[in-house]
This record gives sequence, C-alpha cells and structure tokens, in this order.
Amino acid sequence: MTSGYGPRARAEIWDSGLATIRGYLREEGMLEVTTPWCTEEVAIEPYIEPVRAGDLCLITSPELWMKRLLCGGVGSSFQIAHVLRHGERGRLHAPEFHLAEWYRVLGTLADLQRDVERVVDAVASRVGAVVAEEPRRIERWERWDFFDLFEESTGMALFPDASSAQLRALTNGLGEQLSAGAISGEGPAAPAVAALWDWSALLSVWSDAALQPWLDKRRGVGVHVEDFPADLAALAVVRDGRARRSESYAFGVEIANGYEELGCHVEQKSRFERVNALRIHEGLAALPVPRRFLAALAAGEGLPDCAGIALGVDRLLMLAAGVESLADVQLTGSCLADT
Amino acid sequence: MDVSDLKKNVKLLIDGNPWMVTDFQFVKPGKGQGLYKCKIKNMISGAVVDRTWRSGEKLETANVESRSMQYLFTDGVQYTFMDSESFDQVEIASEVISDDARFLMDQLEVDVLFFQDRAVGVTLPGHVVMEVTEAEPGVKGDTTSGATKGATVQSGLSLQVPLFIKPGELIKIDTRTCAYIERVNR
Repeated sequence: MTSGYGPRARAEIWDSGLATIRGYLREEGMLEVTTPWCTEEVAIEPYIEPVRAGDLCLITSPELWMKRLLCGGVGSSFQIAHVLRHGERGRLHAPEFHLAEWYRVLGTLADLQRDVERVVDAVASRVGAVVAEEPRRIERWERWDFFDLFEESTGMALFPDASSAQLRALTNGLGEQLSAGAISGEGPAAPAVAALWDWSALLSVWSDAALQPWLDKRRGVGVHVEDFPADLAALAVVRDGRARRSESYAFGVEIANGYEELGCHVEQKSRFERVNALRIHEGLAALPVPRRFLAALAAGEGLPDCAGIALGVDRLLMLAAGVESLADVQLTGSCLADT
Repeated sequence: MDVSDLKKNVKLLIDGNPWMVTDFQFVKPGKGQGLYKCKIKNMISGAVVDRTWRSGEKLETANVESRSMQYLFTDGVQYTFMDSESFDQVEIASEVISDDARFLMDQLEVDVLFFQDRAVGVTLPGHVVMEVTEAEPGVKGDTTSGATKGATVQSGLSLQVPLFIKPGELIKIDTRTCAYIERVNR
C-alpha cells in the first residue's frame, strides 16, 4: 500500500462512508435494493466495456435492473453496487469499484444535484472526523449549462447544431493542447454513427485539455454540468434539443452522472442500435440488445417519471480522505499488481 | 493489440521503430472515449515523446527479443556488453542506457534487448549488490527506528541507507526505485 492509511483506517473510512451514504438516502425515503451483478443484459455504451463471465456479463452499472424494479412499482430506491469495467485502470479508474445509484420517482436533475451536494458534504465531514483531518469542504456549488461551460473553459463557442466538420476541427484544436501530445485516430464517415463519435471525442478531449485545468483552478467549488448535446443523451430524455443529463464534479474530480430517465422503449432501442453500430466501427463486438429491459419499459405503465444518478463511492472516499488515487483508499489496495 | 492493453514497458512498433511505454495515464469522462496518455521512448535513439491514443485504436507491438549478456565497459559514448557463451559483443548508445547506467558494474548480467538483430536496450535485474564507497557517519545515540543517512555506491549512485551502514560494506539495491533493500555479508 502506498498511502499512509493502513487496513484498519481504510476499513473505518469505508464503514463511515457507506453508512453516511445509506443514512442519507434512507432519510430521503428511498428503499435499499439489491439486484444481480451477473446478468445477460447490460446498457450498451460505446466506451464502457463489460467484463464477460461465460455467456453472461458482469454489470457496468445496476441501471437496467433498477429500472426494471421501478417499472414494477418499487418506487424511489437506491443501491450500493459493485460494478466492473474492462480495461479501466489508473489513478481515478479501477476495473472494479462501487456505485451508489439512486432513483427518485417524479424527481428532476435539480433534486439529484441537491442530493449530491448533501452526500458529498456529509461524507467529507464524517470521513474527515475518522481520519482526524480537517474535513475538506466544498465552499459552494455552481450549476453550468454544458455549452456555456465549454465556452467559459475554452474561449470558443460551441453550438448544439455544430456540423461534424466543426466538431472535428474543435477536437483537433483542443487535442493539440493536451498535456500528452498529439492525438491520433479518425472518426467514422457514416452519418448515423459519426455524430455520436464526434461528440464523444470532443467531450473527452475537452474534458482533459480544458475542463480539467479549469476545475483544478477552483477545487473548492463544486460544479454540476447539465443539458448535454442530444447525441450524448445515452439513457436520458432529450428536451428542447438537449439531453437532460448532469455530471457533478467535487474537488476537481468527476463523481456523479445523472439523468432524467428516458421511458420510451422505441427511442431507447434505436439509441442502443446506434451505439452498437459505433461499437462495430471501433472494432468492438456488438452487445445484445437488452430485450427484457426494453420489454419492461413497454409493458403496462412502463417506467414512472423519474430521475436517477450514479455516484462513484471509491472516488468520493478518496477525496474525503485526502489521498490522490483510488488505490490509496480502496480497502485492499489496487486489485492490479502493476498500477 | 488493443489500446486498452497499454501499460508501462509495453513495446510498440511505430513507423518501423520500436518504442517502449515509460509512463501511462488513463483518463476518461464518464461517457466519453478513454484517452491513453503515454510517454514513449524510442528504443534506438532514446528520444522520449508524449503520445495520446483514444479508446478503440489498434496498436502494433514491436517484436523485441532479449539475450542474457555481461556488461563490460563504457567509453562514455557507448556501453559494451558481451554474450557469455558466444563472446559476441554489442554496443549501445549512452542515450539509450540513460539512467540504467547508475547500476552498471563490471560483469553485471543484464538482459540485452534486440530489435531486428540490433541491440536497443537493456533490462536490469530486479536488484543489484554494490559496495558503499562513501557514507555519512551515523549519529551516535540516534536510535529512531527507520532513520536514514546519505550514501554513495561504487557506480556513483547516491541513496538513503540505514544509519548502521559503513563504507566498504555491500548493500542490495532495488533497480526500479533506487531504494536500499538490505545489507549483504561478504
């Protein structure tokens, strides 16, 4: 282990962190649920790769199963789940980590953002007490529109209807500002998948080249970014041409990603199929369309009007404990020998 | 190989040259493409450059073979190694040896790396035993456990050692971290 925290201190950090998150969500009237971690169906994402377990997959998030429970009438609920993502490793990434994921029936992004603020505040103060450090505090939270923040952090304007050529020019321009030199790789030509690739590429390069330095200068300010480009909607509703999605950053690190949830099974199916087309372009295997999940959306009253969010527990505890990498706070250290 | 298999010490073939990944950082916004931010070192010229790949890219690995050889000497520009069985000698430029020179002592057995029959680098053993040439005197009465002092070994490498280590003694050093491991009896 590289950090100063030994196994006992880490166990106390986790014990108090998990209890604090559970305590808050229960107080808010949510039921704790548990759903399968090994499953036939995962949400099809272009750049989140499931770990295979024979014919099955390990979950990359508990989203599909929790939404099936919501369709069944379970109501507002939460889960603290182990999730697995193939190939993710680094200071802020691990192939296995914990998501606290919760859904508020009739909730909005604003409700989820308020939850994140309270959970971050409570965990920072409880874990701070455990490790006997002055608790780290977020001085204030700001809410930014995605496009406004892009302009604020880069000095360049970006519009929701930007063309593929414009997006690629912005991505290449920002790519030259990356700390790690020139970026390679070319986007697909087919218009159906090009937009998804273009926005995903721009999001990544902007995050690293411009947003991260901007966040690093104001670590005491928490940031929610919302109203994403429609092509990055994933499983969120699109309203007025913008995805009702929110990303939250605490102490300069991305910790939570929430949606006002899409309930339309037809739209969801077509998004999954589009992602599969992009996966094939990227040389990845297409993933099976999650039929039972789509059937649950289509049956009866389907998914209730709701908003849901997933918060990275390991990252939040890392920030609260004042260490620099997930391996410094995970109870057993990194599960990998060479990171 | 897929870009997701990148890690330190992987050898890549780029524009016909072998490059080794010397530093590796993975960043990824929740739903965006992963970026693999690497420092890579040209195994022939020693040049180090930054390079970023995105999720989904495919890379070619460099076929680099290794042979166990003995270090003989350096003229300051080249380092010479010998195959202990065939007595073949090869030379490697000092820019390529770089920091590894701190551990090269007469007759040290290393793995020399070959790319297309050309020696392009060495892999050091995990630890080496070297003689302490200089060490600050230990402060008498300081019994703090874990206290250290500065010392220099025969190759000129400086490092921190426990207070009881004296000049002329042999110590085992970790070649990856340059850290003292233990005292070795002659």
